[in-house]
Amino acid sequence: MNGYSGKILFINLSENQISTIETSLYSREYLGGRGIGVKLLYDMVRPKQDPLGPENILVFMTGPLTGTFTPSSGRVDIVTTSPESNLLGGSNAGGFWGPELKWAGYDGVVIKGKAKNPVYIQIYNDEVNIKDAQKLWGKDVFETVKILRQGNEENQVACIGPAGENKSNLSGIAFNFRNYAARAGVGAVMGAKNLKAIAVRGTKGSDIYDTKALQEICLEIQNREKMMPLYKDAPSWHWKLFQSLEKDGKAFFGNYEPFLWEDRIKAVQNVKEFIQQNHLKPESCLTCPLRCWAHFSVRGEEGAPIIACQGTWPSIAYFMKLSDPYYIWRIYTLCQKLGLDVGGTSAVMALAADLYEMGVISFKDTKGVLFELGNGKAFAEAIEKLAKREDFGDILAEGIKKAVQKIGRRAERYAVHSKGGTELWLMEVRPFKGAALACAVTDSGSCNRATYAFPDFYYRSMQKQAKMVAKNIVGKEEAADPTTYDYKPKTVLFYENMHIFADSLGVCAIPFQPVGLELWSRSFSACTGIKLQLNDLMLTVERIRTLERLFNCREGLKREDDTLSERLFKEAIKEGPWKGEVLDREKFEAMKDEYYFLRGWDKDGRPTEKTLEKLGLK
Amino acid sequence: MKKVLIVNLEKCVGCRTCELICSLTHERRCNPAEARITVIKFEEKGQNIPMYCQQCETPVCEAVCPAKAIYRDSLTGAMLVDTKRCIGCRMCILACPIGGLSFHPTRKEIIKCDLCKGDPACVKYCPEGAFEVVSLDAIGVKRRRENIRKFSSYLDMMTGGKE
Amino acid sequence: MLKIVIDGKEAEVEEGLSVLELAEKIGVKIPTLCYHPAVGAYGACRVCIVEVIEKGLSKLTTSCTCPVESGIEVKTNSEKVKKTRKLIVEMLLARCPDAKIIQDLAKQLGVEKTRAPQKNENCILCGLCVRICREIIAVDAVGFANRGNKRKVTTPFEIQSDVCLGCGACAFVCPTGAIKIEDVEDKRKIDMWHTELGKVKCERCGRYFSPVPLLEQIKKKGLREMSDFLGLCPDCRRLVLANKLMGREE
Repeated sequence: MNGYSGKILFINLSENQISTIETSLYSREYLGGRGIGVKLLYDMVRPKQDPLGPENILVFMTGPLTGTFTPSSGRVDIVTTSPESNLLGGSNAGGFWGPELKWAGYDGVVIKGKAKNPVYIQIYNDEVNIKDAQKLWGKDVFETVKILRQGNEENQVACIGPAGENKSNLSGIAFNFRNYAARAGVGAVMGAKNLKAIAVRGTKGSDIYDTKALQEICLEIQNREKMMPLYKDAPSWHWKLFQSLEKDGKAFFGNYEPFLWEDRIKAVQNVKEFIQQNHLKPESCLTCPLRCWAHFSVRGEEGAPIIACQGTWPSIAYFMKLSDPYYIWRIYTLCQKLGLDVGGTSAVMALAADLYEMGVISFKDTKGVLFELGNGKAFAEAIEKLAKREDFGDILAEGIKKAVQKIGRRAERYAVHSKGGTELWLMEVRPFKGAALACAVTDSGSCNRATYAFPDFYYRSMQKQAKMVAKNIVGKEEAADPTTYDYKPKTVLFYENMHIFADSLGVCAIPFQPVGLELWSRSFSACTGIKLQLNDLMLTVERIRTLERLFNCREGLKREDDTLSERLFKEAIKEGPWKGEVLDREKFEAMKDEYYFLRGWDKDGRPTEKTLEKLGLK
Repeated sequence: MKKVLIVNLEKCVGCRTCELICSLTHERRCNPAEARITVIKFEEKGQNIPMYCQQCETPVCEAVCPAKAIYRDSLTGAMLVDTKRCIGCRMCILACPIGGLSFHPTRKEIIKCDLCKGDPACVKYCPEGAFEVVSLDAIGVKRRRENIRKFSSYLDMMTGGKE
Repeated sequence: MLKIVIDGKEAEVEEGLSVLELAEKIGVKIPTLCYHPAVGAYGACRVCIVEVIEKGLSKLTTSCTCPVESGIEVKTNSEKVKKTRKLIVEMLLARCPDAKIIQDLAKQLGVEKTRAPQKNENCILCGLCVRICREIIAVDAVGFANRGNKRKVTTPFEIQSDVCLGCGACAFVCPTGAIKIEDVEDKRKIDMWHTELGKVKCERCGRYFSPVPLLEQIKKKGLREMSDFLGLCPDCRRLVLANKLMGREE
């Protein structure tokens, strides 16, 4: 098969069974990556199963462009039922693991069941072995990767850290030393299956339909990516991101406080100096020119610290109000090693500090850990306990929604989360109405995948450009204004669709829009030999999106679940560029109405019969 | 004039585009195992090092080949393998100090960097422009020695004699 | 330069080439089994026969051993050639019915069944392995033994060879794949030559990567001065050097 590898690997850990099916059974209708992942989850898992039980499946699915010469094609999508939300859980990671899986001859791996004892899976082309992982259990991510690479330096390793082993809802799946599928508690699902790691080595490669066309298209894609502002800024993006958040007013501080943090400018300055005083070298995922990651080494410290630009350091600094860059770095490294989602963990820590300050929890509850914003040392200690599910960490490990339920004492009043309990990604949603809608209606498993790249996000710093983009997408410049409720449903629809394309094709969402759907489609045709008609494409995207919805409806999702925490509707921002902004419940519900209508769903957010028929989902 | 391929290590971001374009142009598929270049990644240290045949001045591979199947291309100066003459003894693979030659994973054939007839694909497609084709004039010779000096004690063999 | 006519076309070629080499040069396809450019022609398999007309007299001869002479006319696929080649392949098929290359040739020429008594060999006695081992590898580990229908290729006294390097060139060039080389843990086994050789263990990763005598042979060929890397497998050589480049010894 061209482009695709042709086979999906199925591993049942309860029965120790290994088999494969043909990718072509699904690729026509669901494209790949996230699309096929959702379809498999829907078909294979019966409703309302325990996400940590053997019936849940964990799907690792690459796209047809993964591992081909296409730029920025290093992605793999993870789909499962999330233990954090009990809804569809999804996350996505870059790097080199997805490509290696393709080169081994598999478009994806589906894990079902539960192993009796800790195991890991080693894939080497046709040889798939389930091996004993007693020696690895308990080891952190860096150690695990190192061990599995001994004598096999090109082994690509997907693994969980202690947090995943202890089934924390905030745990993710790490890919080598760097990339993460961090959200939705996917690490907990892997830990619950007693699966420590999946290591891949592949030497079969991918067949390409039209190599000459692919080469030409890829040069074009490379050039388009190099025109992105991120390309020029990449080496300094790790502190410039902070500044961009400031300029666009996107950040929130502490546990969604109404005030700005007075030390925020100092914090950025400290981070900038810290980075400049140590050594930073930009790095890329497979075939990507953007080098948005960087290897970062601090003098005197060992280890493999590698930092991403997508909001990980700002999350730590802003949520926990840490202006000491050393602690930001330490906590980042800690999360990477323990296998924790940085954004979610930071949000949970901020909540804990808020509850502590307001007296909802006390010294006794936290067993001596002093939760206070700005106390990096205490947070580091708390994070270790969270990973081990020790003391109060056991409660925090549940994720924001379930943690406050466990604490009781009306702690829910303080919590801020989006649908299902997912922690909000680094973004103040009260002024950004479109983002608020996106976080509320998404069924993708993590709100990052719903809100990326809206023109609203750079309305303040690059208004002209934002207006132009908005005009192109929904036909009106005014749509770029973050605080208007108008045109947002269309905007959300557009960006959700783009993200679904990216996740299903196996390419990165960051350059997806700037490069443009046309070039990616041409690359798909050059790799697979399949011509993509725009109509078919849109239908495929709608199908994937509606199937995600169907899954969640089956899990019990109702219209009222498509929402965010009450606090965001009650407490207005008191300071800064968005002073006075809060979510208006009526207007919010009206946005939902329009969004459902655009998707072909009814007033309750359920797909209509007509829509199901159109998409072949009956 | 003879040419050599030089890589600027500071520019390498470890994206492995070179491996994929190499296999794409030679084999019409995407497979790093079929590439004539390997990027050694030290993910913990943040260093990425593309390794490929250095087209030595006094190549050991040519010297050990019993079938005289390795010869220098008069146009580019690259060392090429006459696959029809090759008898598959793999002495060249064992003799090369940098692992510049390897055996194709599925075909019975030796593969190595051949400078793409003088117009290397990796030069064109590396997004960072880390590769450069350098003519072996006085400056080129110096640059080549500098490049190789860093990692090989067999400097003389590769670059032909003392400075 | 010599002028000849081949398949009706005129061709000019320098002296010293065989008819087969000439045909290769100008793109005329003649099937072969026992030919290899690295060693001298042997004319063992007979598959490459062509019709050569010189001074009005026609003869069938193996193109690999027939030197190009001025004024000859060569027919690579005349009726005479076709008929004879078919017979040759028929006999080869009778000897080695399971050899894929012979089966393919038979299919190409329209040979369906054989009239000769069936055998179950894989070796067609083309002598390529013998010539390669003697002329190129120069250790002369294998040779022909016995005569007539008992003829076979084997090691002296049909026991473990004490000169075999384990390079595997014999298996590589064998047209029918009759020679099987098995790498099992720390040994390389070549059953057909009754030979088992120990392998060198990579100093760094511990994998067995080369038969011992083969590596010794390379050392002998003048690499003595540079032998510090020879104890490493090619993958580790790259890694060690890459490490050096980063300024750290492992």
